[in-house]
Amino acid sequence: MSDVTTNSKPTRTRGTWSSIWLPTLGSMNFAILLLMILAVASVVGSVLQQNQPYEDYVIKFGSFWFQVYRNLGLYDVYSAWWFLAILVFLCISVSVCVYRNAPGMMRDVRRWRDDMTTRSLERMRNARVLAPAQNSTADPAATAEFCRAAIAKAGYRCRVKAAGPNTLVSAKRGEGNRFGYLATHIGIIVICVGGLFDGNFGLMFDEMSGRIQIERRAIPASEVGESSRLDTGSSTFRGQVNIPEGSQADFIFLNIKDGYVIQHLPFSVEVKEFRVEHYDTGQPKSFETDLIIHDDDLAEPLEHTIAVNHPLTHKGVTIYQASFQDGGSSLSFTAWPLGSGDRPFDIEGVVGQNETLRIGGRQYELELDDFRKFNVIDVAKDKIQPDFNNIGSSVTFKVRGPDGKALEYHNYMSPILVEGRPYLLAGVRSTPAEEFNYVHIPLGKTGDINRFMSLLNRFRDDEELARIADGLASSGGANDAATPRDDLGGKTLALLQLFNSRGFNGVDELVKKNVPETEHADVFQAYFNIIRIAAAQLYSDQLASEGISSGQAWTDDDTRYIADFLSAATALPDYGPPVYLQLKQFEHREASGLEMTKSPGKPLVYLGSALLCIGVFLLFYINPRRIWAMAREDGAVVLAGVNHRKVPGFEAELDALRTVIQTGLESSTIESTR
Amino acid sequence: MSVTSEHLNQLNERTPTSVRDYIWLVAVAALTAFVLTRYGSAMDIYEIVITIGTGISLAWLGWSWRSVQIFTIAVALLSLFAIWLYGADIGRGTENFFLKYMLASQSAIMWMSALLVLSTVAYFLGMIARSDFGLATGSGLAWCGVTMSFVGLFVRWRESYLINVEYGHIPVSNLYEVFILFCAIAGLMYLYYEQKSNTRSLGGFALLVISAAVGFLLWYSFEREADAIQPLVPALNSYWMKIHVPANFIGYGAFALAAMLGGAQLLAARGGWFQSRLPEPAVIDDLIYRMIALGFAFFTIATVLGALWAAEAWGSYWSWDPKETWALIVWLNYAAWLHLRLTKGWGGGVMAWWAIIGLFITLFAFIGVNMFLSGLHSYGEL
Repeated sequence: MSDVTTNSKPTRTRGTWSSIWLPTLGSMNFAILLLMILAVASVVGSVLQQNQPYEDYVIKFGSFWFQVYRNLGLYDVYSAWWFLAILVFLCISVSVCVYRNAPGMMRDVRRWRDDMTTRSLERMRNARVLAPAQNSTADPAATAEFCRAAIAKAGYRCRVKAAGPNTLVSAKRGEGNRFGYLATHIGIIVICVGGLFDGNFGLMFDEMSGRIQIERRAIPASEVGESSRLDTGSSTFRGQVNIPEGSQADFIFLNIKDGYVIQHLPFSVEVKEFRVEHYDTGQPKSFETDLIIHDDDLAEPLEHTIAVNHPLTHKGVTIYQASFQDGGSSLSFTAWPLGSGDRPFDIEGVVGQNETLRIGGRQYELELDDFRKFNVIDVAKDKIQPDFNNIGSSVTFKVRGPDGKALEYHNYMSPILVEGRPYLLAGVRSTPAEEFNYVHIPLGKTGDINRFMSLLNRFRDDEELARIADGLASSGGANDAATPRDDLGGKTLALLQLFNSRGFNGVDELVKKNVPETEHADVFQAYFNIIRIAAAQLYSDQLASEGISSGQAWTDDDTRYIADFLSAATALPDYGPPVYLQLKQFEHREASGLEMTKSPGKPLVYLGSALLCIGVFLLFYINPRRIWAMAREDGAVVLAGVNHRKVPGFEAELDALRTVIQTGLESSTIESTR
Repeated sequence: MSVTSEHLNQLNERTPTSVRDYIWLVAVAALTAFVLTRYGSAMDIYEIVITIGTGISLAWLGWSWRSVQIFTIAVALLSLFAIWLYGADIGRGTENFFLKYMLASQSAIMWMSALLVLSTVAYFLGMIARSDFGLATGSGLAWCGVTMSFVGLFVRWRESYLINVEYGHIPVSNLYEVFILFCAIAGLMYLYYEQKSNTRSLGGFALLVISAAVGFLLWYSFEREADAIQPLVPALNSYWMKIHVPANFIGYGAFALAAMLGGAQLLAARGGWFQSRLPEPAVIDDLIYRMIALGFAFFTIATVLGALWAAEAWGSYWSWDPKETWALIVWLNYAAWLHLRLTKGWGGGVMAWWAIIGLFITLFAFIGVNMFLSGLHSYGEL
């Protein structure tokens, strides 16, 4: 750094390594270049989402650029060799800078620089010769003493020394600034070294040399091979594990690239209970886990509750509350076969496990993926000010057919009110990339799902449909001049069956295929009416079978129910296996997601940070400067100063001193001080 | 009005200590002691440390800058008056005359907004007309605006407890609240340098960036209804928030002011009309340095505090989260600026431009990250 003024320049021998490289590595230009490169490189990692599943990157960039970016390490920029190289160079640059400047600075802090000659002072840029009064009789010592007093009053520490026939006052102020330089720069080195300790380079090296194999399969931890396990002796790690309530684990998963390895812990962690507390708005207020640490070195198990912002540290391993999920809740369902006329049956299962489901003679695999006790949703979507509502429990599961294909479902347990009417929501999707498509099963005024299921059975019953179709045909409900009357019953039946198998989409396609475009809307409307009337008649039959007299006048509710029934029925052909699983009961069991880290470099990083903070203030708020006043034999004073920091204000300070001393020289002040 | 570097010299000098200053020290010490004895039982150790730290900072601030003494008293009286008017009933905010039209946090923020915008106008008119009266008016309005911003924050703090004790938290938890904090801190910082450098002609430039913040604040509250008091998400429920966020905003505020002064410096250096109305470029140059140095120092502290908090909340003092990364980028940017300034003595146009560009980097770290990048730090959204 160029701001260090030392009289004895380090002697340089030509051609040695240090003479060529040290100045470059330690130069200000190089350091600033590195600062800027580091800043730009950091931008890359913040713009491109890091450590995502590799498939996501392939989808985003295509396979060619995916490879290019992977080779550049862009999916984990901050562990990429070139990024670490920049950091290492910055660290070296700062170290060299400190190495070259610190000794000189410490010397400079101690020295008074009282070897100045009149000549060297006069050559300084801001040197002024202050002439004495014509008849001055002051001797240099007295003049110097006057100058010393004036300079000292300005806040400087002074030393007076005879320099031949003259007397030199050397003054200095603000040496703390030098310590600021040292503290900031050493602080940064210490932070880097601390970060290096926690950087897990050992693991990176083991992985590259093949001593550690990354596990990429989603298999139970117990089945992971020995070569993907790290023993309890690891000095640094950061990983996660999900522990269900009532279970314990003595390992965590460390995510590396597109896989993971297992890190064993020197103790075992048991999760007793996980809790979420809520505000009255339904927003989560706190996440807490009651932990029990089982450790042979402990006299008795250690019980402790951790929460967000309140971790626990044991044996150098810090345990944080990171997330939560289902830990194997027991669920009871009623399975409603959709329209087959079969009786509903009960089925039970545990989240995370699979059950066999038999529907219509075929066998399906039921995979229970997740259960949520609360679903708090923001019903005021477009506003910052949210309006939260708890809409109850939900379950997510997959039903996998014999062909291996699966649809994913998301069912809510409680009815959800839409415009005041209750529905059971049954969501379905074929890939995780899609949103769930919800079938709204209407419950009507009675709030009972039986009516819907019975009505659906009637609508799917070909005999019932044929009866309805014939009735419609004879009553002329489907008055279509183009169709001979005796064929009308069969056509109507075919229409209703088409609706059953393909919904309104199928009807729409039929219309588009067979009818001129100008008549599409009219014909579709006619078909729609037939289906609606059929549904209404079956609904009326259903009410009769429930013992509700057909004489009662229909209300808007009934009309509405039929519309809702058709909306649900039209979605069923895409619902997959014809069964609706209604969640009846649950026994909630949660799993706490714990993050565990061991970072031995942390104290060093904190020490470095403290040095940095203190140093920055010393550096900015202490201004180092020196002033010399040479009281010459002839009564004149040469006043000069240096201000390394080039902060204005020093010139004014010098000016003020010049005025004071000049005034003193011209008056009789100096004599009177004798 | 022109300023020479002599005026700047006063930056380092203090007006002689008077009895008033000692009374100030005693009063702050007594008040801190009172708060600790009266409410200490409800505080944990961190809050006690923060209270004492606040007392020391306030004592030192008033000791080295006398205007803060009156300012503090004004803010305290108005805030306490509002809190007293509220009693235990949040409903009084819409019933009581003083609360409804002046002191309820929303009203105080509206007053702040109006006063700061008027102040900007007055400063500019004063500069254009070279009218000391105009500039003095700007300065007075700015003082009032900053007063109302602090009153608004303190009253809002109390209101959060009145709405629901469980919601209670210091109002620095979302984008709406930190924008008020920005206006408060940047305004106060500008006023400090205005007084110490004895020049008001830069006021319009400084207040312009604050007015921009006010504009955003108004849009945010009217258009997005962001002004409602929300309970804290668990991750923010920590004593660290009380120190990390304000420290950060001293940094952001100073960087923003430095950029505005950079603009003023470039205009003043062009000569002519502006030169005759603004301080010498060299003087502005020095103010830019002081702003960036102050901002950098506090930004360093804020980032370190953030790392300490991250270690407690996320399990790692540094996880290369986009917000952290951009904080580092901002820090590196100003580190480079300061190195060139301090060791190479660079100044003038290049550094002024750089200070302006720095604002955009800072702005991205402040808002852009929340808008465009996803990460752990997503507390403010647009």
